[in-house]
Amino acid sequence: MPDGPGATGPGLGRGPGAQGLGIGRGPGAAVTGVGLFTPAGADAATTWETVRAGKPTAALEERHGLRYLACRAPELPGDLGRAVTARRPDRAALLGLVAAREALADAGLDPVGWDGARVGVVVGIGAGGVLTFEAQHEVLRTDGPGDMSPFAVPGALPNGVAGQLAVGFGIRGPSAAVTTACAAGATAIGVALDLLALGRCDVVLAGGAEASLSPFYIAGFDRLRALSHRFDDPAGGLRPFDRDREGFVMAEGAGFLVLERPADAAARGAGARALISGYGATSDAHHVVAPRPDGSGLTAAVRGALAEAGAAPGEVGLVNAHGTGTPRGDAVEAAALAALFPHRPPVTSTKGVTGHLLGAAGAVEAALTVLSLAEGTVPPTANFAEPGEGIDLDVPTTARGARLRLAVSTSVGFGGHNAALVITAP
Amino acid sequence: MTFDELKTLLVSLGLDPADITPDSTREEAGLDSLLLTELALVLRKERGVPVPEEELYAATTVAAIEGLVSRYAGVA
Repeated sequence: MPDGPGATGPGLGRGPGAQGLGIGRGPGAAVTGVGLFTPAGADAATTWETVRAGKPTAALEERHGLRYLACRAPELPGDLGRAVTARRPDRAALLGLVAAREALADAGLDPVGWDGARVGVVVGIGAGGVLTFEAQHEVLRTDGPGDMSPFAVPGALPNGVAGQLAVGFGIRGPSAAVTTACAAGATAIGVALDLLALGRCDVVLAGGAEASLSPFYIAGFDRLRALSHRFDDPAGGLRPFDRDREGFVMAEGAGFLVLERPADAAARGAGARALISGYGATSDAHHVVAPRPDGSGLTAAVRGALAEAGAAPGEVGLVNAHGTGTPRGDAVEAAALAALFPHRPPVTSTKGVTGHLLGAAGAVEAALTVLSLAEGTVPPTANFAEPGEGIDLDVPTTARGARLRLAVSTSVGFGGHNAALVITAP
Repeated sequence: MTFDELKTLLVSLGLDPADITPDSTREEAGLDSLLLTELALVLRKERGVPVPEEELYAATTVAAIEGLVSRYAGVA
């Protein structure tokens, strides 16, 4: 890092600088870089174009004796750094590396020259390195322990992506994986806000990566009756808030944001694409997979995020909803959002295009919300045709131009985790 | 297996081609014990060359590893 306020000493006590920028009582963070590697595109711009066009990416696959819908990430680029590609990393680390690399470049940060001691990385992940785990478990069962790779454990550990990114980019500040199932990407951004507010580092690479299109997770989600079986119409498989929704489509990919205290970003002349102005996190304390029927956990998370941002519900101009297309999940979320926002802001679920990126979803959707604000565009919800019973929301079916100042992105995860981010125009 | 084939295999495991010459020591080539174990595994399972792990650990240079690979090639 160049000589910025962060390079001179521990940040504690220097203050977050949020109050001066008028973004509420929370510390907030400037988004100075965005990176995406998703089924909708190999970078942020391409992903955004596909999302804005409302083009679904789901396809039918038959592998491992299973028949299912999936959204696959694009082919990995061939120029990934040796530091990460060495020693047989899990696919999640490779997907994460591509998105993280783009985010850092977008932020104008060069990992070769920076003071890595003041940089942190927080990675949301759902399943962990399960492709490695399952492949190596198969080797163990069929060929015996002597044929297992020495890299089986580092690849399978859920913190593998965070560790690999630290190695790859020389990040020597705090690094961690957070795992709150399908809320993990949003949780990672929330944790990053805390690291910045407490002065534990000056730059945080925060996001999520997921590569769990594995037999165990595909079959396991199916046994939970969570997946869409619209095999005769794969593109129409994930239908957020739609009458005919029947479940989600699993996706793989990654999304990362570069976050800095707003004053630090300004001091080094880095433009903020948006601000993360508030974060709220709650737990349903209700059921291992089903949402609390009254949506009160999610509602409280959104209220908490708005309070931290110093914003009223009526200021929300866009909601990027969790909206996975499951019958129950969408109904509960829709009721909560309708009650929270009687002024009926557009509520969109970009999962209709991208599929459900699970532990990366919250980060990818935060990134897409940043891009929505930056361009002044409400992205459409692919496959929404007729509202489901009891769903009373303004769900856009085509992209809309709008003067957006403040947006909310919601995420929920099995286990009852609720996370909400308030994202504002700079 | 020629030296170039061995080099290609080592690069596929993540080593830097610039560090791999016949005279390179294991350390210079970047071959730590985990990568030697992985190399033994790939040689045995994917190439049919059953070099014992213990003998690989004892090899001090890339040339010595190449010699072991030549000796065990065709054993299986």
